[in-house]
Amino acid sequence: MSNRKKRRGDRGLSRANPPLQPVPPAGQITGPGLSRIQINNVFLPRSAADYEALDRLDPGRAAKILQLQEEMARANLRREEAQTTHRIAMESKQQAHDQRSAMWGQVAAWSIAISALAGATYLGAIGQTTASIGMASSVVGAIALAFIQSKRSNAAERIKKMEVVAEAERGLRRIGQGQ
Amino acid sequence: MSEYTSFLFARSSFLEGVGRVLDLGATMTLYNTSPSAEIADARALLADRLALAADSDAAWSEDHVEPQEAQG
Repeated sequence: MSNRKKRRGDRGLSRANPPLQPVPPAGQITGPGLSRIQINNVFLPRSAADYEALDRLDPGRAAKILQLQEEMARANLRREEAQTTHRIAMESKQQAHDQRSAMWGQVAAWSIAISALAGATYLGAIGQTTASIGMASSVVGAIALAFIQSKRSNAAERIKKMEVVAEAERGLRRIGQGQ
Repeated sequence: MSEYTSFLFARSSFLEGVGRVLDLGATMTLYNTSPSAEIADARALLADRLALAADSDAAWSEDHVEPQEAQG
C-alpha cells in the first residue's frame, strides 16, 4: 500500500469511527457558568442552568446524572420504607411486652392481696388481731403506693411526650412566621 | 417506643398493673387531650410526620454526608 493510499485509508477510518476518547468524570468537566455541589464525594451540577451547561460541554452526561439520581432517590425511598416497617414492628412488639408486664403486675398484686386476705383472716380467727391488721394494711399500703407512684410516673411521661409535640408545633410556627 | 407514635398515652408497666388492683374507677386510663378536634388532628399529623422524619434520619444516618459547596 502506498503512503498516499494509506493516508487516505487512515482518513476514511477516522471519519467513520472516530477514536474513542477517555471520558472524564463529571467532576473534572469544567466550563463557563458551570457550578457544582459536592454530595458524598460526588460533584453534581447545582441548578438547572448548570445541568444545561454540562450537557453543552458533554452531551448526554446530564441525562445520565439525572438517571442515577433518580435511581438513588428510589433506593433511599425503599430504605426509608423498610425503616418505617421495622419501627412499626418493633413498636408493636414493645407494646405487647408492656401490656404483658402490666398483666403480670395485676396477677402478682391480686395473688398477694388474696393471700394476705386469707392470712389476715386466719390470724384474726386465732386471735392475732394486731398481726392480722398489720398484714392486711401492709399489703394494701404497698398496692396503694404502687398506684400512686404509677399515676405520677404516667402523668410525667404524658407531659414529657406532649412537650415534644408542642415544641415541634412551636418550631413549625416559627418557620411559618419566617423566624 | 417512639414518643411520636405514643404521645397520647403513657406506656404500661408492671407497677401500673399492681396499682390497677386499686383503680376501681379506671382513673389510670388517661390520654393527652387537645382543645379542639382540629388541633388534635393537626397534632396527630405532625407526630406522624415527625416519626417518618426520624425513620428517614435513621435510614440516612449510616452514609449520609452533608452537602458541601464546590465550584467547578
